[in-house]
Amino acid sequence: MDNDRVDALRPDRPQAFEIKIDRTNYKVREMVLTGGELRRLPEPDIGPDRDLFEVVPGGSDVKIDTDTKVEMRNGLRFFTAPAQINPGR
Amino acid sequence: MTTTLVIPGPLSEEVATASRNSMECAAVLLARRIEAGRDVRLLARSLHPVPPEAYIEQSPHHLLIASQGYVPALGAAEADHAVPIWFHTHPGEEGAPLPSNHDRQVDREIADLFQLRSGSGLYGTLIASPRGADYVFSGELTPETGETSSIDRLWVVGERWKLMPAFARQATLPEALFDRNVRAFGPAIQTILGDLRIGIVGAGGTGSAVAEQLVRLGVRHLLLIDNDSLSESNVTRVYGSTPGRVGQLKVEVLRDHLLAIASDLDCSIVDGMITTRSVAWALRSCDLIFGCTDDNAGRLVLSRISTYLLTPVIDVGVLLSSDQAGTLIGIDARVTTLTPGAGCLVCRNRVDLGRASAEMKSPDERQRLANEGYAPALGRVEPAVVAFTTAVAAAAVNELLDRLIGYGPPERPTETLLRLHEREISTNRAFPHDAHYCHQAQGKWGAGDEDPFLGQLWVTV
Ligand SMILES: [Zn+2]
Ligand SMILES: [Zn+2]
Repeated sequence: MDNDRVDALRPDRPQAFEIKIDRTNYKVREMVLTGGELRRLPEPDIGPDRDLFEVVPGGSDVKIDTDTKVEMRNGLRFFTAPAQINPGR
Repeated sequence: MTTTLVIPGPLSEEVATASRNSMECAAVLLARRIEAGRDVRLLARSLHPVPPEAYIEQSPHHLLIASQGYVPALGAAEADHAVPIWFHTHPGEEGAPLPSNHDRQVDREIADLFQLRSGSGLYGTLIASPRGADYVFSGELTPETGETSSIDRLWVVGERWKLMPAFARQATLPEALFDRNVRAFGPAIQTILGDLRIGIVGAGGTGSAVAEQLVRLGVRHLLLIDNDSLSESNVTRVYGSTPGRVGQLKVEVLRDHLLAIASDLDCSIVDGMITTRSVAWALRSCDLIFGCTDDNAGRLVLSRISTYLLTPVIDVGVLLSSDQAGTLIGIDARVTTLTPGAGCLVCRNRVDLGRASAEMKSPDERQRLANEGYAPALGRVEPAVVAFTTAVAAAAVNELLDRLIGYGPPERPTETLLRLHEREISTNRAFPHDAHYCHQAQGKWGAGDEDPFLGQLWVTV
């Protein structure tokens, strides 16, 4: 179902969603974004050395892979973490 | 500023076990942070080990960890209003728990994430290496803005109480005057006594006797709390009291006396009752408290402090009973130790709840209820004798020494009963009731400044 059809079904749908990645707010108009698309929102893009997670309030945060589809909504929060850390001596 | 990480015994055991692993291992330790004057206290709540599948590589001196190994703990930190502390080990008895270049790189990579995702604005680190049954450590705390500060001391509160200075801190040798103590328990314990911050609630017969012994033992940081003035009849048993000081505040009389014994003593005084929120609040800076009050409402507050602030309390009580002619027939005293894992004074039935609630009422209302038979009559003057108050004070200080030195029985009792009239001493252990706040499962261990303070209602004065 494309976005126009959804708009027709849900006239109350907001024109844009406010989401946050790390400390920065973004406005997105898409209903659904993939992990790969989310990674291209920040400037520069999120590099492959960092993992992207969706904050699950009161639950366990979910790792978002490049092809994972995430339905947008206001207040959605993401953050990035080093994919690997190396606390050697 | 001094930063103290307070760890309940079972959590400290987890840290010790991890440090004894021949492989380097890592976890996220969650702790609530409270500010007590200029000092910071981190009250450890839970340890979230990196799960085995998140170790991409693991050796005795190297780790490679996937993000799933530490990210879940950050959401848990937010949910628990806790600071996330990145913990890892440097294995081996020769291991030095100091950050390597690799560790500094990790700090740069994850500090921002830890600060942001936990919602605490803080990133902590803790590195531990094994030393026999114990461990040595270093640690830091980095705020989003501002400077990194070190975690200076670690205060383990369980069956045993251990105060551990950070690895890099040079231990100073005790002064010569403590030679006889050092011959009994060694220089390390002497140094710990000098570093402990001890609160004494009540500056009467038992409180003053506890205070004088502590200062002679080498304790150098005391907080004295009492709202009474010295009366003529106090001079029979209050250490440091003289007829010339009758009418002055007990805490001032006692402080001056203690300073005459040790001029380097750091002694704060509070003229007030711990049933007042601001006075209970002042006790947040203490590592340990002696409860030397005969006030039941105060004992309820002390019980909560031991759980919510992870501050051990040694509570003392003396009860003299007389026959119909008024002659002494029973001299009963108890020393009750409140430490994580032990039942509180309520679970032990050591607080008279009727008297406690009467103590919290205004004098007028209390009198009215007493007249109507609804409340116990308070304010009766109980007998008190210096030999007995001093005996129980000595038993209380003995309890502290045993917890620090560990000379006592392995299944450490949490209460000592002195039946002085029978020349008998017995001990017992009591455990938290399942549904009571002092039980670990209730999540109140190390709750810190959670509102309302100590989870109780406070009378506004
Ligand atoms: Zn390291
Ligand atoms: Zn209890």
